[in-house]
Amino acid sequence: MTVTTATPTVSVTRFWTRSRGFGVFYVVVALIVLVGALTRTEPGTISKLGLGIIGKPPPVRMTLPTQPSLVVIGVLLGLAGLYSLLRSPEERRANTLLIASFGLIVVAALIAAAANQSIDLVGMIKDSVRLATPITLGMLAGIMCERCAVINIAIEGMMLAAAAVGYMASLYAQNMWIGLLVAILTGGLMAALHAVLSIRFMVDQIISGTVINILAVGASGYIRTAFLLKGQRGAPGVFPYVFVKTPLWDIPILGTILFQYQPMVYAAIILVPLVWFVLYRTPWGLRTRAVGEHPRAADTLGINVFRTRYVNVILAGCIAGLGGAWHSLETVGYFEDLMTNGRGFIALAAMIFGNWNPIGGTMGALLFGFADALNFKFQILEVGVPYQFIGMLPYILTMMAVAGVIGKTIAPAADGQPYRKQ
Amino acid sequence: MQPRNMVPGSGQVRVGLVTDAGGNIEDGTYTQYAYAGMRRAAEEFGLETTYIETDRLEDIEGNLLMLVEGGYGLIIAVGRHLGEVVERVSKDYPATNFATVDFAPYPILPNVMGLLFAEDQAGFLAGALAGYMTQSNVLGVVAGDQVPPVIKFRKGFANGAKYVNPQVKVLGEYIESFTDPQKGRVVAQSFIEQGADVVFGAGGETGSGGIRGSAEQGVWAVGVDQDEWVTTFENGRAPGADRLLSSAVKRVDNAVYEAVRQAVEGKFVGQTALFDASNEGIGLAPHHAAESAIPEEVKGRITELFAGLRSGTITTGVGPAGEDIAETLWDQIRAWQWTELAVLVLAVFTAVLIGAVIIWATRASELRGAGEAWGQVIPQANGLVLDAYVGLFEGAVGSPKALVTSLIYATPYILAGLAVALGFHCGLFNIGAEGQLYMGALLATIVGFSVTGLPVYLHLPLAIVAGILGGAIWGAIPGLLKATTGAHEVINTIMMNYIALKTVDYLVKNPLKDPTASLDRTPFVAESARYPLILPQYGLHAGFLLALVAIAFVWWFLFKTTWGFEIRTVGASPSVARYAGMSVPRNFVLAMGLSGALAGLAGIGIVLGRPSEYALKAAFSRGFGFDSIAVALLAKSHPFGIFPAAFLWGALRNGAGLMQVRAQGISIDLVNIIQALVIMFIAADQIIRWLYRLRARREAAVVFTRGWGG
Repeated sequence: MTVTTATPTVSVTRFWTRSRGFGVFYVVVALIVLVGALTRTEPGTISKLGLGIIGKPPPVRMTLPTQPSLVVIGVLLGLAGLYSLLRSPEERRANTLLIASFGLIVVAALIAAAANQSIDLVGMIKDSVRLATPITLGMLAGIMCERCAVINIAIEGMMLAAAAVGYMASLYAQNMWIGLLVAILTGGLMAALHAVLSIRFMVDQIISGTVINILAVGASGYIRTAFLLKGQRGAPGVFPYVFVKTPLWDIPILGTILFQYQPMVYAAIILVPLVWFVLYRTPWGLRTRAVGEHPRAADTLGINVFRTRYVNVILAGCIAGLGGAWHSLETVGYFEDLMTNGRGFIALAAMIFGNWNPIGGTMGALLFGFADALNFKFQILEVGVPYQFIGMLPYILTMMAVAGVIGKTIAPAADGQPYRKQ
Repeated sequence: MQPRNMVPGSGQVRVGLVTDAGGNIEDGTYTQYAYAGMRRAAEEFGLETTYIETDRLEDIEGNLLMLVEGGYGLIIAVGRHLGEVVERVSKDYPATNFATVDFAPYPILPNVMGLLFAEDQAGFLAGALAGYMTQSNVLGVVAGDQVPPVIKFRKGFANGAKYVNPQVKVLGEYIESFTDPQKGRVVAQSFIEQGADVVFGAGGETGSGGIRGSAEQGVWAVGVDQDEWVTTFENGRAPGADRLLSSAVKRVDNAVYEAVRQAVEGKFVGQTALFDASNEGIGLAPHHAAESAIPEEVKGRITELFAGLRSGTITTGVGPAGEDIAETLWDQIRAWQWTELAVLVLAVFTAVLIGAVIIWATRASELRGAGEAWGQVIPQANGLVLDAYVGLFEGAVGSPKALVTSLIYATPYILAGLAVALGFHCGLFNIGAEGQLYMGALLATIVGFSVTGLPVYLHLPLAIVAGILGGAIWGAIPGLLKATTGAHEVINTIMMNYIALKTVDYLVKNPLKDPTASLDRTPFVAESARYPLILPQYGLHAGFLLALVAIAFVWWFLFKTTWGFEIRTVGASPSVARYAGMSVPRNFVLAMGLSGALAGLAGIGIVLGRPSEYALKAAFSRGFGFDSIAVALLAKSHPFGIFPAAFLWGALRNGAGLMQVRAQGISIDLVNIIQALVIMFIAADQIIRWLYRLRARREAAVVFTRGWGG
């Protein structure tokens, strides 16, 4: 009797371990850095990295020869890559290598950006934090939803709608704080639609999220043409800096990094620990997580699964609304089509990156914020590296995060499954 | 329960067997056969064997581990429940080999051999025999619990009977137990009372009870799994043994023997082994006392059928997990529920109606804000609604030129909609049509302007192939990531959209920029790389015909080929596909690659087909990814539904221009709102059914996505 083998056999140990995957990544980046350094920079170029206050001479300044520094970093990355590839180190050593390599990549990017000019590191940190804000808020919105097992790919749409409607309200009321309130409510309203579709009607949550995203694009574009373009009144401006004209503002270095922001940044700074606290240290958070992991068991224990989900999803929408306000009311003081520019999706990535934990997610958001800041810097400084490639970085990092390359991520067990009472 | 009946042997490999809950190695069918296979091998190779009969489901894991810790080198796990436990725990015991009967782990584990059978083929042969032998044209099937092997026996039996005897009527019932002969008798009795004169028992002891009851009354009986003449009918001593026509045999013994043999010979490897007609893994048992009652002609026909199944010229119409395979278009049309169509039409209608309310409210609020009286406001607002929709209609289909332009608009929607629909069939949500479309357009453009001097019949296909390849690769990457790491394709396709957009943005502004152009665009593609125009005065190009061909191709591929069948099985249920020994990862990559190829073709058509383009610009298309989702949903993912859905979308987009001109202040974004509402109403069709008092859907809603885990 012959046996037909439906599928070829597999060997017991896989060659492609996580470490080896990283090894390839490091080698590729090392080659990019080396080739870039040798072809795009002149031998005599100098990179100046400073820690300074705008308008004053930086108290600390580091001057590095661009090309040799990049070559050194390239070689180090290459060694890390070869080591990972050949030796496939254990988990802990691989993680140390990962952090070190990412640090090297960041330094390389900064040195390259500062070729022939000077980059203010303090300014970079400040820009990163500022640009990480909408991603952080969106990430929190994502966590609030997914911890109770409702997938939210609609953060982008919630932010976009909130940005448009919030701006419209601030324009008509001539008061940006009313605008902020309306932005929060709009986010909540869009989330309520998502909640009704996915909880009440049990629509596939990704389809429901897609509906919200398309609706937001259409509605915000429609509002812009119908109401915003014809307004004779001028916009009431952007949110003021919170600590301007206080002594905190002028503290060297720390003042710049900590106190020179507008309100949404501080909203995010407050919300991250708050959401963490609510989720992990309060009965409500415990119930939320129970609903996310095992709704049937939660229901048996007397937790109202539907109410928990509705409340969390709508609150999440309100947080996304803050992110919308960041775009229109805090940053530019007007609304333009598609201005959220994919940050809602990046926020989702930050959430996965941080393993559905607000603290880890914030780390992810800061990384993406840094990439964003670098992107702008490269565009302004006209560095040899095309800014489009720097712009791709968050997306590539996201794919790596989702693929579990950067540690294994575990979604809440019931994520995406509608709940049906028996 | 302790291992029993330890039989010592001299060989080095010790073999243990664990039965399913309530299983019994003398059940006369399935489990006994597995045990017999193990013993046959043990005697041949001089092995020590043992077995454990599991009482309750909760004990399965403990019983398996008892044998693992007892140092048994090969453990035979009989039944699906055990297979699931083995799949979970086998990784922790790499030194122990497992053979799982009726279960194949996926992905393949290095120390697990999954043994699967084509029960539908065995059932088909038994059914054909019954179909020839019946006088009343009524047959009965006493089936066990509704699990794939039983479903396949039952459906295979029914299809086999109908294959030889179209008038036959097959009664059947699933009984939620394999160990309840009394219940089997009762059910068989009810079939006999309804006129059945052949009863097939496919459900362990339950089914055996059914056929014994039938045979005792002189009704023809057909056994299952192994030759029930030997077991249930006690080698012919039991009453009614002469009424046993045959048994639909599933050679569990051979499969188990084979697994043991490989372990003894040191050749054991993790794999999925399928036992069917081609390797005599299934068949019919001897007719014994019924031999003379069966005409020679019937025996000859059965042999022919066996040969047909063996060579593949006859199929049972039952899928690997027991699903029906509706193959012809006519079957699909008959399966269509017409209220579904009403829901689609009403979803579009309601969305358009809400659009009207939005226009009305916009104008009314504006006029009220300017201090107009309601008497003035209402007719003006009504007028604007009318202007907008008349403009939309005229712009879309009001003239031959408008109609043809709508077709041109519809062309990329057809292809991108097919791309998304194909993904849906595999349970994949491809939001990346946009990026795949860009990559397709990019590669086709590069070949289009950089290659020169070729005749059109070489250059154009070359450009198309390059573009298709670009789209396919761009689509296959998220498929591959999902297959290998479980990363959700929704996130990855969105990310790859941005990466594609930025890549094209960079290339078009830098290395590929046409230095003579003021705009950021590539050089124009050579004339030999452009789609021929079918209606030059209206700009309709051959890409439209290509899109129609693609519709037919996707239909044929999905419903007429093995690959398409596998993709649909994976989409319907990955665990079922896994059970059937299909590679889920392979199908993910294949479906995403094909999906990307179709989306790429959409991009190619825009650049190589439209006289207004013929070169790639930085942002030459926006929003195709989402539009094509709407098209696929509206079409209910059926390739033939794509054309009307895509035409509607093309017409809306085309008409939006004139709408904006006719109705001042109403932006084309209204079309986006209508589109989102259409998707919403189709996805949450309960709203539409409730609004219009339509009948509720019979089956559960389709779930496309199951969390991030993949």
